[in-house]
Amino acid sequence: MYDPKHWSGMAKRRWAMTVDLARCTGCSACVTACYSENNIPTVGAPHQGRALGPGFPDSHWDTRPGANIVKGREMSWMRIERYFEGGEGNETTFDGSFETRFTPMLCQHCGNAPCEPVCPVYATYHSPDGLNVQVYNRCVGTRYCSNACPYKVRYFNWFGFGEPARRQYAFPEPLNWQLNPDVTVRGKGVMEKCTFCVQRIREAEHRAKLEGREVRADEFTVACAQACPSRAITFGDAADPAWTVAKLAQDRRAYHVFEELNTFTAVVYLKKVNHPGGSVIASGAAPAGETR
Amino acid sequence: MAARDYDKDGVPYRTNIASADIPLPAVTDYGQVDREIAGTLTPSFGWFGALGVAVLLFLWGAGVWTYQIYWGLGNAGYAPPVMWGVYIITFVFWVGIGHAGTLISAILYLFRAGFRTTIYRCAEAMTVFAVMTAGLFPIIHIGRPWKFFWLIPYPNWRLIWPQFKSPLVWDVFAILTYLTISSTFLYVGLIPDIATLRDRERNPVRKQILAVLSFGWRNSDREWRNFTRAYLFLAAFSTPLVLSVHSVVSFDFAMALAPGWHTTIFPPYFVAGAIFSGIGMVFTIIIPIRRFFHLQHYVTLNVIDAAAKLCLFTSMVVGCAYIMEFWVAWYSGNAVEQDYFWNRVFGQWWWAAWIMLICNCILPLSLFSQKLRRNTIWLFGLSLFINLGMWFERFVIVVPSLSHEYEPWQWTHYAPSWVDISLLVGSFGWFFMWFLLFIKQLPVIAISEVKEIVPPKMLHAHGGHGAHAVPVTAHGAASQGGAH
Amino acid sequence: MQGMMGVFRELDAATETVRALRADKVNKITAYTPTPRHEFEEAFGDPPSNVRKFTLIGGMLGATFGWWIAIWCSDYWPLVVGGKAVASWVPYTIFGFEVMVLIGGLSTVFGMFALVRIPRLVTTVGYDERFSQGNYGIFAEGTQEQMRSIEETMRRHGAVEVRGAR
Repeated sequence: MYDPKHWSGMAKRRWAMTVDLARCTGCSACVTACYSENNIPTVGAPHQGRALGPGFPDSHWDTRPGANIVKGREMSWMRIERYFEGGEGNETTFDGSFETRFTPMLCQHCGNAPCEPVCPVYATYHSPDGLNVQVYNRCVGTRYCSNACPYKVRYFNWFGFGEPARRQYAFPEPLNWQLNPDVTVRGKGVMEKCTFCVQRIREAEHRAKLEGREVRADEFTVACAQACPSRAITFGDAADPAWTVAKLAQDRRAYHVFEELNTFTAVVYLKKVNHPGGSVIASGAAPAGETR
Repeated sequence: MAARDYDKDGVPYRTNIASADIPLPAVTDYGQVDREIAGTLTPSFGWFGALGVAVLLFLWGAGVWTYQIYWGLGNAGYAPPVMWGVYIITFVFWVGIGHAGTLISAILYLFRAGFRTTIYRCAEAMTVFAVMTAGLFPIIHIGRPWKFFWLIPYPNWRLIWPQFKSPLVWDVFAILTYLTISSTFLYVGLIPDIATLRDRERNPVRKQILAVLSFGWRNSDREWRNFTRAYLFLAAFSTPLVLSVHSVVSFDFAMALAPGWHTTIFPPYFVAGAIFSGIGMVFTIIIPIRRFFHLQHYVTLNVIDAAAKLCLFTSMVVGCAYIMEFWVAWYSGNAVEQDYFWNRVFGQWWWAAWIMLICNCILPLSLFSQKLRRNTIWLFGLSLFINLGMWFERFVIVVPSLSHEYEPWQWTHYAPSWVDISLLVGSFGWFFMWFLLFIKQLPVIAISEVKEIVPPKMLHAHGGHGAHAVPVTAHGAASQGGAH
Repeated sequence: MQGMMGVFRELDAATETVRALRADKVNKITAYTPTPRHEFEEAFGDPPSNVRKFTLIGGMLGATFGWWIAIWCSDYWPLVVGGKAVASWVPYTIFGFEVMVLIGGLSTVFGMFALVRIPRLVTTVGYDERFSQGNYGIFAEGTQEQMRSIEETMRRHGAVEVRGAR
């Protein structure tokens, strides 16, 4: 896709991200920042449940808090996946080999995105600057893209979470004051996912154009990178060596999730390296000095 | 001559029913054919009752669909990442059922299988209504169904077109083509029968309607000559449709990366499963029709025996496909694939997989016994299990894959909700409503084709110049030329 | 032109009549049968039907249109999906095939209707309602002089009823 002579002028950029797993503490600030930047609805409120039976009286709605969460319908474009390693079958004593690993998982903006060729209406396609674009007003909601995505980072609006007239509206007064005016609120039946904060990308490009210059290296960043307290996330143009992310993506620890599927992701993870013997307490168990 | 050597129709048990000749010993002249088949068209109390139930189920399903459009798909049982559930399963189920009808009416026509003659009209009608039912589900299951027409390349002022590399757009073309060609095939075959009904009809209003519907057909030699040729070509076109349409439906799964979906065995696996499930539904429909319409002389036990053999054959092909699937997953060494299959057969979804295996592979083995093949009660019960097993086969393809993919964080459970079940039941109501209306308006057995296999009246005992008592082929289109 | 209609109950009686009439140089003969019989095809000796021409042309047009529409629409807004080529003939084979079957099938039916001249708005002379049920009919047209010999031929071969029709 990288093509400096592309007719749109956009293909000289390749937006990418690195996530340094050694720095990630699992604090979920990135998740929260993403929610507030992109008008992502929360779905666990009691008024957002599904109908348990036919009829119109209110009593037949599922009003347990978190009912949608139990059905896996949360909309977190960026999510923290937590895996435990070691300590199998040993839940009462502390084992030196026990590890917790956090993986912030978001849309990988794959070069060979498996979600794109299955959409029947071009609601998702690859932009010349390397973004996997989601066009909300074209989406008819077949959800085929989510089935094809191996990372499962695509989210569907099961109810009118973004529609004020609907019972399941996620931003009843005064929550609607928190909405970001630069980003749409999606209606019922539409897929959504991480856009690499495309509103910030375009804003930076437009500002640069108005000022008659090129976008400077590291001039802006995305919401999750901005919020991360340990600077684990870096975003930028990987095709331009002046940006930090271009150097980080070449790091020795770099890898792509599910690389064997040939998705050519734009998100590069940097392995967490444990120093040998670093996590061993007096138990004398074998050190877990393995890279991830 | 022992009593068990002959069945109650008086035909010996060991008749070679693989031959193209299926004699109908109890049908002796054309007048009897007209009388008995046209006689099935008078509505009865039981028919009204069945139609009433079907319409009620359909109306319930339609109401729940409206409810779903208003509130959103959240009321269905979806649990991400299981983004496809009962609706897609039911869609594939109904499309699959349609394929057996076309197999019986088109492919068996090309193969000159005589046992097809009395059951093909019923099967072809089942196909058309099954595809009509299936076509509803892609609209039902999408998030914004009022925009479903964006999948069709209609000229629009925005000049925006669908994405032709998507299997769902392939589906649109395949299903619409299949619906059009099947209905055309059914209707063209009906024209001579409508002409017969028109000529028998006394009521002037019905007679006029039938005259319009029959296009003024008058059974002349010129008409028959062109008709038989056109019918042959339509059968030849429908044949690859049976193979291709369900292959295209299988691409909905095979083109996605999910473990258990992304496999090249899917097209033949789906087509074999489709034919098998369709034959099951043919039995479910035709055994009651045979009983309630007193058509035992036409749909004889030999016909049913032959169809049961076809059912057994396709069941074995489906069983072989299951074994291939499991073996390839093991042999591939792909850990994700192997884990998915283990989970499907012995883990979280063992109950669904075993319903599928027992209903589709074990129970149909009973059809090796000729006694059971000729027992219509057993066949009817078995056909209900086949329908159940084949619905569960699609369930076992869709849900376990999606619930247990690459990302362990996303592994989940799925259960259908009352909305899913209502629309499934409503689809049966829609299908049976159309089918019941059909069997009382139009002849459920092809009158003119049955007349072809009834020996014609002859002036001279052994026929004159080149005339035959019983022809070898239905609709003798490929004219043999000269006497046999 | 005048015509004589004969009603026959037996198949071989009707086919013999057709042969006899053709031998007498009566050429405008129409046979009405409840079901197609190849005995009549042999008796008439007509060339095979022309429906196949419609089928062939329809099929070729359909295949072309199927591929063309997929390629043209893909090229119109050349968006990249999944890193794949914008317009690729391999998956578009599906459209070529399906539209071939669709247009081929429909033109077969259209061709049949055209060759057989249906939809027909009025009942034709010489047709009787019994012909779709159990009896065979032969309707022969000829000059006034031929009428007597036609009638004689029909009766000789066993017609149940013979009547003149214009």
